[in-house]
Amino acid sequence: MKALLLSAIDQIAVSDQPIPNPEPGKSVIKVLASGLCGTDRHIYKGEYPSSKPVILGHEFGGVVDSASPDSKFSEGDLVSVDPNIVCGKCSDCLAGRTAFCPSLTALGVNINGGFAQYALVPNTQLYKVSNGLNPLHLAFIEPTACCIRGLDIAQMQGGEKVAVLGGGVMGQIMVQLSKLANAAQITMVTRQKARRELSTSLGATDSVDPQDKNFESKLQNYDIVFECAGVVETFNLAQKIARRGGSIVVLGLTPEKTMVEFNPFQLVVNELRIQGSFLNPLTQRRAADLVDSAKLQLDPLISRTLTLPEVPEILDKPPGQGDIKYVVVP
Amino acid sequence: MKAIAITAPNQLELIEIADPTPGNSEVVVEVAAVGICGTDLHIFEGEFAPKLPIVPGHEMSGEVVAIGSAVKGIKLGDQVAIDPSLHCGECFYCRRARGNLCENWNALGVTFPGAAAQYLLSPQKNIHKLPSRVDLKSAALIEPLSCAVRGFDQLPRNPGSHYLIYGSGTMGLMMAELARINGAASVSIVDLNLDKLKTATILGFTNTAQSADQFDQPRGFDVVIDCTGVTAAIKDGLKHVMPGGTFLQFGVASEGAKVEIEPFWIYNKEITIVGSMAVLHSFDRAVELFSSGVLNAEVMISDRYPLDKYKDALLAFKSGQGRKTIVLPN
Repeated sequence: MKALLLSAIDQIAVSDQPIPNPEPGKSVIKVLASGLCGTDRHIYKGEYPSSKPVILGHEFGGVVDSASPDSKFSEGDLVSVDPNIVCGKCSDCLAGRTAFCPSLTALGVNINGGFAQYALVPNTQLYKVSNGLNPLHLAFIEPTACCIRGLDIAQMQGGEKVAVLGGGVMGQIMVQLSKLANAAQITMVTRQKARRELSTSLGATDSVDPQDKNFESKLQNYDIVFECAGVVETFNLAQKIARRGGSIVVLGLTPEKTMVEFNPFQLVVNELRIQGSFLNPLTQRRAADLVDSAKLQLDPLISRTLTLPEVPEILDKPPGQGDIKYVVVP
Repeated sequence: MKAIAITAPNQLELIEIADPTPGNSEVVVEVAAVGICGTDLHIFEGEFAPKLPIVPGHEMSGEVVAIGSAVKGIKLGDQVAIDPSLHCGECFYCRRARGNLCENWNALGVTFPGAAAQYLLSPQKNIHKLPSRVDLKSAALIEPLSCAVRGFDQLPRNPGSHYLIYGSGTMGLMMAELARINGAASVSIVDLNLDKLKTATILGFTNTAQSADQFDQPRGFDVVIDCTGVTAAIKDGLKHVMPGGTFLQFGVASEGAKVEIEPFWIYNKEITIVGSMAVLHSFDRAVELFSSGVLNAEVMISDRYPLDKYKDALLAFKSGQGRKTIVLPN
């Protein structure tokens, strides 16, 4: 089979690999869609740790090609894959903090993932969806699960003013989740016009270009700020525009060792809350059901589909203007 | 009656003023004890500037000696503690049950005459009756305890959690007591001052050290509480938060203080950083907790002064050597 193998930092190429065989507890999936994520770019550049050599791709799904004998799935089932594999037995797992399992490994990071025609996946990581689902939408279930984690942490009750900083795929999904959670106002803050326009078509009530003069005066008193850009500027902006008593949820991956400042006096006087949201602990099922329910608009988020040989060149350069999600169809 | 008036920065006088008389819904309390707190010092030193002159004192207890015609449920001779907060009840935050963030915030002893006087005039709604078993001269501890309870309301309060507290003064020790009754698996206390750590030991907190690195807690603590407001302590405390854990900023830092943090760490370890401001729906519970004996007043109160030595009391507090300093005006 064809697979995209990362052999070292900055070295990735399509190569011929043996098609995996099912093992006890693991089934072989024919990959139908595999999303390209900012983390893949970070891994490729050595900014996020991974095993090497490894087949990248951690946002994927497909059809069960050969199920292990002990599997509850049947060949032909359409499934989404939760890439994050945990032990389920340690104190963190038992407390529901699976993202901190000391033996956490991930398909597409430490183990061969979804940028291949076939993938060997533990049955515990498979989530069935209806066979009528557009297979390209399988690539959105993992990022949606991460966004649901952020929504859970934000503890929205309805009627809030929400700001979403960053118009990438996470930001565009957070806009839609905030709408489903009955936010009163949803403001998208992002530099690219196309991304702002997309967000308002998906449920944002307004949008702001952070390059405009005095843009901060338009951004005041947000109950919840979702930081989905992962840069110093948005982290600082979040602290300025959150309402007293408001919450900042950090979903964006800022490179390690990048530092920002916060003001502990303001934290007390304004009772701010800054919270991180990492991965998709125990949210993949809900994400699969939500995507399956067609309540999210995902087609407008697909900027391009790619074949495997097109991926290395894409990884080499920053995402194109207005582009949201590239979906690899191996 | 005799009262203390702060007349200008770093100036206070013992003055003779008319005894207060209650309006319809007001109560006059003969002050049994009034505690000294950082806010009093800030007002005295002109760093926190309400309209001067002001009678300070917002941590207070006493006996009811006069009531207005519309007062119900309170009678002469009742032993009471007084919530100093004068929330307007009408602004955005009050109507969202966040009165501690009131846009028209006032408080007895800050913007209205406080308890550094023989008698205090208080609205009926601020009066909390105490059971007769409570030592009235110690009950000035209830107000700071109500701030600590608010701080705890900002925490997950999961039984079996490991707590780390910076500062072994009055507030740090109150936090430690609250951690203990909230089912802490362990409570560790850091302070640079060995005498202060000795007090923690007297109260039964045996995990004490001058540096948090000395505790055997390799994964960090579920909850870290800063009660110092010192940036070096805050920085150190952030390093000791367990993945998925919470850092509570309780100590009031100087206004322009800045602390560096790494957004990647907040994201990757799902850290929560949250502030706590004053009292919010926590005074009645502080009364219950104090009445149940959660604080050892003999240990918590280190110094007692008569009213005409109020300035000495302020300076003793400023020296930072003791624990709670109280003034007994009658």
